[in-house]
Amino acid sequence: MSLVSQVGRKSWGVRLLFGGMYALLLLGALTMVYPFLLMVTMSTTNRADCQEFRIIPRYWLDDGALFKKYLLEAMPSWSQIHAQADLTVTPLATWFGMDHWFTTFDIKISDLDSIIKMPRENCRARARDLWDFIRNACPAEFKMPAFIVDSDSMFFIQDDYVSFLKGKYGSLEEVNRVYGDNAATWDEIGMVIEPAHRALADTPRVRDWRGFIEKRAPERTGLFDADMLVYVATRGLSLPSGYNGSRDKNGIIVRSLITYDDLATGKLGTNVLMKFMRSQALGRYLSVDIVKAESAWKDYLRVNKCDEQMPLKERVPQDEYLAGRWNHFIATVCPLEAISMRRPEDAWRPFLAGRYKSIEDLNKAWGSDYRAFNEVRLPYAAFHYDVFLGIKKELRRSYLVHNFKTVFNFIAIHGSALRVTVIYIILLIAGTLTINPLAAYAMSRFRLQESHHILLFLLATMAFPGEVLMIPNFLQIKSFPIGAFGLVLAAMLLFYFLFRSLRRRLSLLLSATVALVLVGCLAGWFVPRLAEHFQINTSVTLMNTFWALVLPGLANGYGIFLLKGFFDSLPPELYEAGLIDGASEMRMFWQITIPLCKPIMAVMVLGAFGAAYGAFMHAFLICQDPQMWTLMVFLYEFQQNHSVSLVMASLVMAAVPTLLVFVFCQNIILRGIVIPTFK
Amino acid sequence: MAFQDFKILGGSDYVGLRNFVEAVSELKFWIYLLQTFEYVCISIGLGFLMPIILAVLLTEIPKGKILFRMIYYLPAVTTGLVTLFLWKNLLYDSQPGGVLNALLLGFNALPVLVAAGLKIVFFLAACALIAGLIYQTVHPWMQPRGRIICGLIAAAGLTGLLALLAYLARAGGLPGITGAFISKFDFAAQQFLRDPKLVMLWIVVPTIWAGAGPGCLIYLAALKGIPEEQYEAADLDGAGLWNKVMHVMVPNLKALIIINFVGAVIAGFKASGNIFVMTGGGPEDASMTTGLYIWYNAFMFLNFGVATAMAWIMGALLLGFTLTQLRILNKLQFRNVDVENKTK
Repeated sequence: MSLVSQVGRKSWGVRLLFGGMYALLLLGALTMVYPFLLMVTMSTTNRADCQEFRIIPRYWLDDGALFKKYLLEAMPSWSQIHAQADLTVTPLATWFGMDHWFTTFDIKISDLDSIIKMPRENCRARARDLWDFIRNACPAEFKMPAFIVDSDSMFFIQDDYVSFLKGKYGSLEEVNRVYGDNAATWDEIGMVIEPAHRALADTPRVRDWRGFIEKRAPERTGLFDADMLVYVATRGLSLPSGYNGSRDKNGIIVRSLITYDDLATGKLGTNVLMKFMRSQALGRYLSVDIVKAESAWKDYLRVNKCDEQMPLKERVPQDEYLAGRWNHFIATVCPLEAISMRRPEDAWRPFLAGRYKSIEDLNKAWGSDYRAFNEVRLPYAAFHYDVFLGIKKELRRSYLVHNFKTVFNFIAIHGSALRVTVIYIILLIAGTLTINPLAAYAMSRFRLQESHHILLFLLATMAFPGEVLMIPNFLQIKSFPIGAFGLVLAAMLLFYFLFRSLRRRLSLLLSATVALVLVGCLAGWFVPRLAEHFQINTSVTLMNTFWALVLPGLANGYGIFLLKGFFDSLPPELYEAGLIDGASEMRMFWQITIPLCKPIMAVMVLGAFGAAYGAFMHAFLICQDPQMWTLMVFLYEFQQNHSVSLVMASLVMAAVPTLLVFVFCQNIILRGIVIPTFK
Repeated sequence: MAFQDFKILGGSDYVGLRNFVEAVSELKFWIYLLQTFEYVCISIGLGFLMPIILAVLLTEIPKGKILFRMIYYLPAVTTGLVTLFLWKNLLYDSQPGGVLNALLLGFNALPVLVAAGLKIVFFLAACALIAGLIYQTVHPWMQPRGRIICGLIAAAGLTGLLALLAYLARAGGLPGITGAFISKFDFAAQQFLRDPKLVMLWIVVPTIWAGAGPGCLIYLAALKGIPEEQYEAADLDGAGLWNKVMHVMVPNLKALIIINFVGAVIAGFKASGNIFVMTGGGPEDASMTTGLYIWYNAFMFLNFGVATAMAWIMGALLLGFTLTQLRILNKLQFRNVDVENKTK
């Protein structure tokens, strides 16, 4: 309280001293708080921004950042049909015309300005047109799942799909019956992946999937984007000198704005077109002009010794063998002019032409400068921005709580973790509160000469690295020698009996020896033979039981030591008074000792709570059955397959109980701290 | 187990002392033991006083005690693993843009005047500390042991200072000294956990950081247990701040400090988990300690026998400390302080 004396507190020197102290403490406190604030705020981020390590994630305040997050989730899943690794943000790059977007980190918020700063009514008109198109005029084959990227996302498509199936079939059994499947959970009914070079057969599962995609809201539907494929295919190539595409303000051609139209009309050169059609286009969307390719097909069949009656289909056939031949034909000898790619624009442009009578009307509504309808691209970016504006507030709020919700649901669904942890904590607290005080009491009340050595022995356990103790611990629990345990118990009972009944004739040491020798003979010779004879197993396994969790932590050498010291300091007069009043030992223990030692007992309870709540390695080794996992093991499992943000959220939630305990019990903790002083 | 070629699936053979011989004859074991000493020295040297200073500060400030106490306790709320991960991934980012590196490089940007001022203040503070210690040494009323300790520390500090000055002077003569003082800071971006020379330091820092708050609780309680009268008496006798620290506070805390010191040494020797998480013993085994090596032996190489033998050897080495601890513990009595009444 008072290194600084009470007198003269107002003097400048003392004030300076206090100022310095506060400055130091504040500095320290800052370093303490910063990482934890970061942890809390990071748990409100997701894949898109968890690597930014901002104490205030940008999306809290900045609409642009929020839009970026939304965009990254709204992308159609190209990984489903095009197994190319660098497709993470490539679709977005073509939407915005940004060549330098390769990963989520490359997306600067200012890059989005072209859409964010666009006049509201233009953006609205574009979005409305695309919305109507997707809803009413877009052929089903171009629709593909969006919001699929991240299984931790709150828009994750699987959840929608499952609820769609639930609505349609009602029960999992029904789904399994129709699909001829045997999924154990709803999540096991995987999404359907449409292969790139083949059309899927029309099974109930595929029909449901397509129906689901068709029924989804337009803003949750992705469209096939041929321009993106062209961008990916031409990214590394040099362009012909005559090509005249969109240029940025430095006069450099924007690669991500090169369209399929440029490619198909031969502006990029025949070689590029050939390479694209032969090897990079997706067979599912290609179509072959039957008339133009007829003779080449006949030749192809002859050369490859196939059935010459095999007809040439315009689109890829369903049959796997035929599809293989068809794709091979395109990849090798099909005349280039016979191949074309189907894409949403084929329907999109007539749709617009029907809606706006002339291109001028469209340019006016859109704020664009197209020269003809066959130049008009799909305004994905404006479309998503418009949707985003509608749900902005809600989106921000759900991003804030989504991770916590997910963790909570995870724990709630796997409810046994919570139950196991609570029971474990209660058992351990009860155990610590009986075993340790009893042991300490015995040593404190009856000052055996050996009690010092016993204490030494107990404390010596602390000198070993805990990791080394883990193996014997584990082995012992794996096959717990219940027979030996029983024998020890028998020895103790025998000793008690001998000591009690023959007190006059046998000294303490002698009766102990007799008991030990008797039981030793029993253990060494008699019992094993007996067990063998009757085929009784003398050891049981405690794996996956509460015994295994609780037993190793029950007795605590240091705790016993502390308690003994504490009991020693109680005045012996109390016990003398108790003896005179005829109280038994147990009664003195419960009514005199324990009430006087409440504070330190409270600390031991808190310690037991902390140990049980935080126990990980031990619980992990001992209880491998998921039904017996404690919360920590559970969170560990959770961390194995979830994103950083979710892990942070789980950690924050796991810290809440301990924090609460400290906040509300800090006085108890402080009061229970024992301070050694020299006698 | 230490005497067996232990196999987890049974069939272990008795091999006598071979495990011990194997453990001792390995050069690595001794190198790691030395590194463990290094770890212990750093963690004690830097970390031991931290909770005490924190506790003193927390006791002295007139307002906001409970708030600060809670803030400093924060690291103990989450599991230790999380703290370590935070430091490892966040603060110890070895790029110039990493949090700590940015801070360090931020010093370089300070103007010459401020930098020179800071350096001189630090230098003067060091001088003052040494001077104070020397004063303690020659003071008549100190006990001989205290005088010897103070003198040793002062001598070490003085040597260090002189060595620094000599180094500077050799590099550039007398103007070199002034030049070193009146110039900007020149810190390089740190490699942190990938730097074999300083890795031990960087491993220790998070532990200290996380341990200061929880560790200070016991000192807090102890400080509150010091009777007010002793301070008042010291005041009346005209004792200054320093004297009150040395003659009122330290004697009262002495038992606690000794016990904690021995405990900290033992704990330092046993440390392995945090090192495993931070570096796994790397880079180039520069942060491998005996505890970690035992762990590796047991659970990675499955040499349970050798690992146990090493654990025994280490336990034996620590036996001295453990025995000291026990002996002191035996001499002490424990009491607990009714903290809350005293704060009013």
